[in-house]
Amino acid sequence: MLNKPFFLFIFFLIIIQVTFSFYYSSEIINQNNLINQNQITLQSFKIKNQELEEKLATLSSLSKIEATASQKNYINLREKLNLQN
Amino acid sequence: MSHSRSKILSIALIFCFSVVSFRFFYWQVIKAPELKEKAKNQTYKLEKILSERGKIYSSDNFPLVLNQTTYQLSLYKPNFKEDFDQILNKIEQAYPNFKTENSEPVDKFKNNSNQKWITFNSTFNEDQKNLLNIPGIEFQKIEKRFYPENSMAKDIIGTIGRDSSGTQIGYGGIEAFYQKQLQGKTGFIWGPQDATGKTILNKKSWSSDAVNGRNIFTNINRSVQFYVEKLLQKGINEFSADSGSITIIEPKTGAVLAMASLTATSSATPSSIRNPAISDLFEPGSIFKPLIVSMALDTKSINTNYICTKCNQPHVIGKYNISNWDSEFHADSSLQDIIKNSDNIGMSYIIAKLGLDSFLNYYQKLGLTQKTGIDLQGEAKPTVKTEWPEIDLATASFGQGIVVTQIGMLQAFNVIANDGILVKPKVVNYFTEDDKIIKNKNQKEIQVFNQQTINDIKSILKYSVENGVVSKIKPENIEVCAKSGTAQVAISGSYENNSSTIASYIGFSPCYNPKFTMIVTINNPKTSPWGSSTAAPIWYELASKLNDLL
Repeated sequence: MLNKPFFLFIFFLIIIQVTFSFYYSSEIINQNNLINQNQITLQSFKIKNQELEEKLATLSSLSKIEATASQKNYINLREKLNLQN
Repeated sequence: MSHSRSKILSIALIFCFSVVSFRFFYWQVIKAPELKEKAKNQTYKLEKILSERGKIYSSDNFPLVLNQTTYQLSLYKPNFKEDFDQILNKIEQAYPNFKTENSEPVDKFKNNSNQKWITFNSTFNEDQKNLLNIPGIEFQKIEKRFYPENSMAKDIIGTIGRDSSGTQIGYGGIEAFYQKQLQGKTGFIWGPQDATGKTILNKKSWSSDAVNGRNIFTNINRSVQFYVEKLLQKGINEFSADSGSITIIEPKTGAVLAMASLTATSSATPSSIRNPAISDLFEPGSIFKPLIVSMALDTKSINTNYICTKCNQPHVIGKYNISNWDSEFHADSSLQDIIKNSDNIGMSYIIAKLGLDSFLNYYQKLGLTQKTGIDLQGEAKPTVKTEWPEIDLATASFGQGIVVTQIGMLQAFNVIANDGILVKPKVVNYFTEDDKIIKNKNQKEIQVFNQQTINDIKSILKYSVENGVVSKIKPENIEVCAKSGTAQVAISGSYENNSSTIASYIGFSPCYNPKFTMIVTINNPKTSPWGSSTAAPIWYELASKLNDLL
């Protein structure tokens, strides 16, 4: 007579344990998936940021400004002088 | 009979059970630690988190070096789910001109059924990579350096490569000198991995974060560097020279504002690992004369009223005759005129009055016997003679028979600009690490000449510029204290009449409280060998620009 509640108790205990372990492991997997997802997003933001930084630097570089300037006028260096030492 | 059978069966069962129990005990208890370790090694992995290499900026906070992430594309035939031409068209849509750029390897790969795998040299950006999520296409991440100003300041920056372990490592310039600060620290994650090989973070896993490299903020003035490179290239071409170098520093701090070395054939030196401004030794020639006069004035071996009474003829030392570059003699030259006329005879008498011991003492104080300690990799150490016969001391007075690097000569001459105080040249101003500013340490300053000496030599240099041959090319609106020099290049220890020359011009502006000290050296100019006709026009052209820029 006493056996029946005891077995029921054991049975429910096992069910709770199994359920909890399923929940716990799926929680770890979910959390890790979230971390992976966030890492991928962070990485892509970093690369986007890098690309924008590159574009900004290229567009504001002196070599770019020089290449797009309509007039490039350097003063002739050679002086018609016969200087010595 | 049946009783004995069941007995045997029982004994057999007990025996089997005992054997199985023993094996369980063996594996689960005795071998447990070893198996546990093996299991861990199979399921746990150590993952590297790479740090980002520090960036390099100019003094206006403009990035001279950035990091760039690109991807290299590979194709793997067995994974193809569609026709090769269809895949190729999709790649072409994402990366125009891919087929043209890679026509040869593409055709080879297409027609060779035995070739399963190919990697192309074309690099893809993040967006292009995301468009090509197709079976059979793989991407490999590549971290590179990106230079927004192209080859500008290449000699200063240096370059990077990879060591045997695949780690990025700097070669030459800042990249090598500040390798430790730039590289940062690699991070690690240790934990179990899932079926796809990704690390699962749980209570047992541990990690240490990666620390990115420090960003470097240099003293390089981008606009000045730009003009220096443009005008140096133009000068080299116009004067048909082999190569040339220019370095500009801030007199008070030694901050390097610009440094460039170019050759006649390219807009950059052949290798950014070697920087001629710090690694090439040369005989300075007449640009060394103001330093000798300063030494003589400082030791009171002569005073400003000095007159060279023997300058009307060559100075004979043993079997050698010391003459002037133009074979002319300037009788009764004053100290000012000795510098103005670049009089070798007068200088040889001044150094004789100074004496060898005093000369060597100042030579060492001016930092000419050792490296300047500039924060760039590859600086050469000047060689110093151990024996000084009288003729060698005499020729040293006009900068022949001694060797210096361009940066060493500039450091020494800057002592005159900086009121007699020697400061070390410095490329890097400060570092940043997580928005924290770390100042680059200052070197100690050394007083070489007293103030009276400085006042005297400055007025001599100013007189020389305003009354000498360069007065015709000096812009009127700037005050300059400078000296030209032309040194013959020794071939096998002797100077031939037709040997090549190194033409140079060194000075600062304005004479009092100067904004910059600059040296220009032109190697083997063919239109004219003289420093005043080649290096000086470049110097003055730049000085006019610097007047506006600084």
